[in-house]
Amino acid sequence: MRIIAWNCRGLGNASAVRGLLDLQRRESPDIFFLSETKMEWWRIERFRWILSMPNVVVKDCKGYSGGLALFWRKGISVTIKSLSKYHIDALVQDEDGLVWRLTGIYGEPKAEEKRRTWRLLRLLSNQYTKPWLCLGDLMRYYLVVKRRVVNLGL
Amino acid sequence: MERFRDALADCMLEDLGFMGDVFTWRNHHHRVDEYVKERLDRAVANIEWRRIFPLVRVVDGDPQHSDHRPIIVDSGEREVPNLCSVNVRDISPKFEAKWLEEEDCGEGMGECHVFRSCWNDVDSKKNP
Repeated sequence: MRIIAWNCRGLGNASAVRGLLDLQRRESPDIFFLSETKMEWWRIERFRWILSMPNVVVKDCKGYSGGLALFWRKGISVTIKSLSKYHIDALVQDEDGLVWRLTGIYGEPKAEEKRRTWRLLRLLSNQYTKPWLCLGDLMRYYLVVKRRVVNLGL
Repeated sequence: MERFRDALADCMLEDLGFMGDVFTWRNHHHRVDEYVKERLDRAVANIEWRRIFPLVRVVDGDPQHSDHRPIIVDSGEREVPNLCSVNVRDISPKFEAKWLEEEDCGEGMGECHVFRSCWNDVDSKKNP
């Protein structure tokens, strides 16, 4: 099974739709978690046809920010357990009947508020236990590369 | 980083690693001294999930128009499951609508929209 999580930064223009289609064509995901769609449900819904993934659950954007969508293909059973503007938590059952947990996370964009994302993880963890895959915008990496202009005095 | 590691440990989650670019996000700032790239996106899983999918691979995809790279998880062939050996504690998940509000993590279980595979079956609903 192939699962993709992508902070797509809005789907409201042609290049975004091209990018999404390109990703879908190349990777053929079974489940697609999109964050920062910047769209409401009635605009997301048509992407079921574009992606050939007939199932979706949508959390609307607020103004011009946020927005989540979890798409899945036919043949997979997905039960939504909870969602907020920061996550979609679901149980996935594949054709063989195996049930596992999938959580897509849209993390706090501001570094100083990342602790909220971790608190959310802990809360979700305490709710129930299953084989669990969690993916998305989880955290800042310890490597931060900041290129600096070095004046060599030449 | 320490707090992130603590949170993962508390949740019994481990980073699945990745193949490809170490950085998944760029700010595309035009000023060289303001250009920042980081690894924000990742996939983590608990031991039960990793036992079922021991051949999992995580690849960073092409960012396309976004400043984030997609995280592509290929679970690989499934281990023929002796599911009995997976210690699954299944507690009935009663979602408490207020928990997110209490924790200031969002607006709780608000409105969402679900569309299922029968193409004409639009099941738009409001959760309590």
